[in-house]
Amino acid sequence: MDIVNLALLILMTGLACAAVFLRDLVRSAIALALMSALLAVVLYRLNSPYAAVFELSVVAGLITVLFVSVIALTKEEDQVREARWPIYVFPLVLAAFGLADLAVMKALFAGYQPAGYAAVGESFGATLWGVRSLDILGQVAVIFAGVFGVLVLLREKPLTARQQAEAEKAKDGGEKLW
Amino acid sequence: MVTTYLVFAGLFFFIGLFAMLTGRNMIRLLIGLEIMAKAVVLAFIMAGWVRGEEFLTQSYVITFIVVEVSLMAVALALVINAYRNTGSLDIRGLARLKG
Repeated sequence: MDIVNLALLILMTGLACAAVFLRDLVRSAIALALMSALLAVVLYRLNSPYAAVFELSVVAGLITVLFVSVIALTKEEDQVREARWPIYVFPLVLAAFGLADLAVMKALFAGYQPAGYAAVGESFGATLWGVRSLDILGQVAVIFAGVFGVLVLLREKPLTARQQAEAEKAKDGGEKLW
Repeated sequence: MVTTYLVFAGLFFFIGLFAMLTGRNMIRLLIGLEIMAKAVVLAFIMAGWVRGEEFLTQSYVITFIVVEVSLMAVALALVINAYRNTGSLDIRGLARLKG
């Protein structure tokens, strides 16, 4: 295995742990973004440049912006007290799972080897627009569903009669000051 | 060689699952979900690399990323709505919601 990819994967594991256990949510989001950026490098080195570009621009960029925006809108991260026991249990459980993972993956995939770059046939455009053209329609539908979902969830609710009266009162009070 | 990548994909999935199972902050749960998504992307790309079908798996991964972004946008909007209703990001606060 390529030593650079191994180092990148180990770094990604550390960043994943940091994203889960850092107390500051903004730092967690940044650790997640760094993990995405490193994954993009790994994907590029595995001969998948288009997926790498999407991972870097959309996941490391857009999703991080969404996370940071929501963290800024809520400002309540200190009020949620996370349980302490997962921090102590996590290393043991991770080590146990890692050993089991290694044994299972070795048993299942030990004989598999990369097919090599020569096996790649058509161009990416032909595959995406030709073979998987229906997926593109599905993606458009999913994006629209996401946009409408966000619009519905974040729409301004009409004020109740009491809230309107309070708003008017506050407005009148403000005018008197002038 | 292939095994090592898949072992790491399994580890990422486990870390994300652990975060989702033990976390209380809703944003942190979504961060766990994101880590699990990265494991899936890595496993997909490895499958394409082994079978020599990089273009096909890349198109799947791109579809997956688009769905993931839409999911995250809606999930974060839900988090903001829940925060407006309960005044906290604690997932346990949602148990009090009715109607």
